[in-house]
Amino acid sequence: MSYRLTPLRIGAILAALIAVVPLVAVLVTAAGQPGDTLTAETFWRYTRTSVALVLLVGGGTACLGGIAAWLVALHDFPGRRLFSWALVLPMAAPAFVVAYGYASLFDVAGPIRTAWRTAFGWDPPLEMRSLWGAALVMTLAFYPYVYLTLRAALISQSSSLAEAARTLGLNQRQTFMRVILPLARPALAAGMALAAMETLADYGATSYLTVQTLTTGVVRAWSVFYSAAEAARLALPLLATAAVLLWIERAGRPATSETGQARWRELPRIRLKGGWGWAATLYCLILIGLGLILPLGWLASLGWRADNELPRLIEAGRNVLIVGAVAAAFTGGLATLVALGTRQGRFLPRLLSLGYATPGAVMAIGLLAPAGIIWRAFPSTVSSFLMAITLLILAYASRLMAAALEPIDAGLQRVGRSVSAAARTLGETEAGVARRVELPIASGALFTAVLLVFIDVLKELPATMILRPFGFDTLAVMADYYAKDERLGEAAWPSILIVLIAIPAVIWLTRRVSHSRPGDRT
Amino acid sequence: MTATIEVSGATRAYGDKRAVDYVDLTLEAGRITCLLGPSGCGKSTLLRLIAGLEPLDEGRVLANGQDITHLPPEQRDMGLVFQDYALFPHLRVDDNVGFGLGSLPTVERRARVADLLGRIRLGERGRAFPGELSGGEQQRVALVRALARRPHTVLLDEPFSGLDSHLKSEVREATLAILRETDAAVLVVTHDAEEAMQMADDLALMIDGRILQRGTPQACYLDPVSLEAARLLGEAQVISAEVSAGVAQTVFGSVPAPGHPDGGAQVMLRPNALVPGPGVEADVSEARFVGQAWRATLTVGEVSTQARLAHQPGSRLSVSLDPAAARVLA
Amino acid sequence: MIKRLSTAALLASSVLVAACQPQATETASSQADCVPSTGGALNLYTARHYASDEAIYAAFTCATGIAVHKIEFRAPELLARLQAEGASSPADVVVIQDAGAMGEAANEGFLVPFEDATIDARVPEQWRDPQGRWFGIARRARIVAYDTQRVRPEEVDDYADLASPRFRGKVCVQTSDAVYNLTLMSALIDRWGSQRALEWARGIVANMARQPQGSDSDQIRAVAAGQCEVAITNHYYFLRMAESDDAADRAVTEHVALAFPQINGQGSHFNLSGAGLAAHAPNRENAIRFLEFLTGPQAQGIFATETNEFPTTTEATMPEDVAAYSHHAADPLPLPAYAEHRAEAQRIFEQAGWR
Repeated sequence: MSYRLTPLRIGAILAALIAVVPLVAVLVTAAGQPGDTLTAETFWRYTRTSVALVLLVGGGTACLGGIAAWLVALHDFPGRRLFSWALVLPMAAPAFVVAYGYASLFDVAGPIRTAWRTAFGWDPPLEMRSLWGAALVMTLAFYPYVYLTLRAALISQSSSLAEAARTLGLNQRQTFMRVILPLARPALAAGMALAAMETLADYGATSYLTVQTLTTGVVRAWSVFYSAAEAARLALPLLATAAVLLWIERAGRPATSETGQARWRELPRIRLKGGWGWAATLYCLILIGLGLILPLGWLASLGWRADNELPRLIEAGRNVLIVGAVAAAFTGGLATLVALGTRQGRFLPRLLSLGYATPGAVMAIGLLAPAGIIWRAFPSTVSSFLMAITLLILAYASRLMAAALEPIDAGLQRVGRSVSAAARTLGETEAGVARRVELPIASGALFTAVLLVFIDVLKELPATMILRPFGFDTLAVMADYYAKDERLGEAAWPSILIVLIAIPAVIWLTRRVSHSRPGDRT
Repeated sequence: MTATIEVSGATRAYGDKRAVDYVDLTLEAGRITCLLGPSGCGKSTLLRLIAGLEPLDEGRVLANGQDITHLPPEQRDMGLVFQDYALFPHLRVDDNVGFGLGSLPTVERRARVADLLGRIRLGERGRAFPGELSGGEQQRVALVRALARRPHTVLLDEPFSGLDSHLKSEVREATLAILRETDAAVLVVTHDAEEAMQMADDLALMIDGRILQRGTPQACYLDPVSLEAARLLGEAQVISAEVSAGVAQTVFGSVPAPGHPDGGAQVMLRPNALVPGPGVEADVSEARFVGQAWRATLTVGEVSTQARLAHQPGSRLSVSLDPAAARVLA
Repeated sequence: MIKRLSTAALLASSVLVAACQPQATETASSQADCVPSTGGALNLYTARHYASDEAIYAAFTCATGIAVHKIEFRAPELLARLQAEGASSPADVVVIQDAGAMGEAANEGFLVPFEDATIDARVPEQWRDPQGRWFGIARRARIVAYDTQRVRPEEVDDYADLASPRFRGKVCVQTSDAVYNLTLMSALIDRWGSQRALEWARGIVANMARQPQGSDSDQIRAVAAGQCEVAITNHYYFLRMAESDDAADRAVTEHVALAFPQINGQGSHFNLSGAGLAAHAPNRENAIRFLEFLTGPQAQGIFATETNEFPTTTEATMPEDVAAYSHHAADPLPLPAYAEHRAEAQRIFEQAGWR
């Protein structure tokens, strides 16, 4: 089949370009002149720490999120329906916010260890500013990725396979181990890959918890030697790892080749009796408590005692709401173009996903280079507020395109080819089919994409920091400044505001996920 | 080991609807029982009740007189072929077949798997994944997987419904041959009358959660207990009749009606009930070729019916009634 | 309590309301009582982010009618943005709270030298770039907080003391990621030479009570909690805790005091917040007025009052708690040395195993 350049495809390519440019810029920057850099030994130490952290968080999220998904999808216990979406709520809290809370709560002079010392006379080894502490914090922040993907896989598994195993002589537990779990393993791996990617790219939480990873190393190289080239070069192994993780995550998608006429039937849920049921309830409560309520509650109590700059907070909140909404809509539109225009090819979406997995500090370098070209070419635009906001929105779009592409792509896959073909035979153009058939059917997915981008813009730091116009603060920027200035109480206000704004979006997302079943039109 | 499975008073309700409503059924070792019914009649639910995949609300399941009502499925020694085959997509064909043979030593297990795959002519495809097989091949793998443990009972849920029509009869023959080699009690659930009659030693007709009739295919076909039962098994026409002294008189001829009270009655005619011959003159109003035969509409007076006959429309034809293909309905 | 609750509710609702009625986004310094008049505008790139600075911008606008437009960066991002903008840069004034980064900005050509008699008169030569590209606007001492019950002040009157066996397992300090550590190390390299500086770093690593972690405030808290006896910290974090509204923070400082160790007996290490004129400043005159204003008594007083920093000028008024320490001598290191030794400082930290 010959490749024709339809208007839709041209649009897709232009949209994709926005996301590809910064990645190219990183590579070009990395090829710049070498300067002083960190020693190989230090580099390896960072690498080891990164690997250890990724392994710990991967394993931790697999355990915590996996057990949660297993409980909610395959069992009945008090509160199951509530927990099925509430367990995702910690997603509303950025990892750096969780880190603020835990580091302060478990500081040697913090409330818990002080009380412990007073009571028992010795200091408990509960140091959050350590590899183990960071692993715990990030596990709590990222377990929803595993929970969501694994639960979706368990819910969509038809019961006939499990039943076949039962009639072939396996009991419940053996059936889980030999059939249900192996079938859900790709989803588990995909969830772990997402968590690993977030861990690798994280700067805010790791640096606050003084864990020195490759990503903090990139920033360090940059702040010591002021060499974007060195920073970009250090980031290349991160990019490569991200590519591998992305590949794992993609491979974990359920293949669509199912035997057609099967009547899909949900896996039966086992009723947990008495104490076991309450134990399951307690487990879910503890997970939500540790992931959201404890760190946020502690931050709130710190904020309570601290001053807040109300006008600045309101303005930063307003800024991020407006820019976030515009950026989310814009990014959603671009991603839709890409998704519609690349339904035959898989390469472009994969390439774009790389931007999402790239550490923010590295992306900032990649974003600054093309911005610089515009600034130098059109000097009058540099101090224009509108121009700066436009650049910022473009930057968000290129960073977060993949986050939007994912659900839109999945939503469009659900539009059967025959449905689109039917519309074409009824006289519609490609673009017309998209407008009248495909997008209306995938509208739920579109909204999901827009919300995901919005939540990410709320937390976004490096691109905002480096590209924003004069006098433009966001909540994440404010939180970061206060935290850097060691004023956690003041940092608590914007942090909590981020979570409060994100929670309704997360709830909407998870309720949608929990209601979608195979065969649903979404 | 052989077994007789007795289901008695089996009941399963979903909300207000009784999917299976006080059903009795017996499966005999070495015999194939077909459970025939329209979709939604509860036949698959009944199969799942027997397999232990669903709990009974009431009733019992006995195997050789032992109550297995509350036994989990894995302890029932029953093989089940699913409608969608339920092959494990993450395991290769030979691992699928050998899945239930964990207790056997490796050598023996391999030998048995190889033997089973050989019998379905898939000896070369053991290392393939199920997704790489055709529909017919998948069906055969699902069958031998269910047989691998040499269960005393084999349950098949619409085993041929996913196959193309030209494949069906061939696969059915092959399946029958393999099932005949076992001594197992076999239950086949289907909505296809031809399939049921071709396979069944014993037939059970199910509608709305109840079993209407049980017997050999021939008995069920020719001596249905009701019009519904009659129609499940094939075409049936109904005409009115007058019973008098054990004989039902219709416009086409008479049918024996032993034991029926005198008065009005209905007579069910199979398509072959009217044959050309000395009898009554009927108007032929329409005749169509329907594959292997012709079908003509015949009218006598005000009574019309259809018969498997070839004749010129618009003409008249003398037909007689074959009592063997007609029954007076209760 | 009720008041706080209503504040939170007000906050949440007003963010939502504000979002629905977008207005032209003004600079954050619009909280000034004075409205910018005809004085024009000034574009400020700053790596500082303190309430004191907001107050100074407001005072400047009041005094001159010039509006202050600012972007707050972190130092590397500030430099990267200047680099990307090149000659198109709208920046008039650059402010960074680290002498090393400020020197780097000057070396990269992002700042232009300028002569200004007022500034030269107010800021002693020691706090000015010899080439006139930037000057200090506030000083922060990187010194020692110690446990008054276990350490005598004379035990920590030299930075070298911290590396001595006396404090084996008793020292708390941040990671070498902390830019203030990097700048301190640059100073020691210049004063002691690389070899001695490396030995000192090794000594500190050997003396660490725990892996480097947390912020300066966390180091002070660790001293108070008994985890270590001495900590390297910037002075103002201690002052801020001592005057905090939070009783827990005030309690921390009860048994902790500041000591000002010496380098070669000449004074303590003071890092500088620097300010300079951007190379392509479109509002040069306003920029110079602003730079002068930063060295004026009002601005210097605000630095001292709000951020507890030491002024770089002589006539500034200080609150008592800052004044109490202001007599400590500063190590007379020439400013370019900070940027010059930066890469080497990093290398020494790595060699010494100081994370």
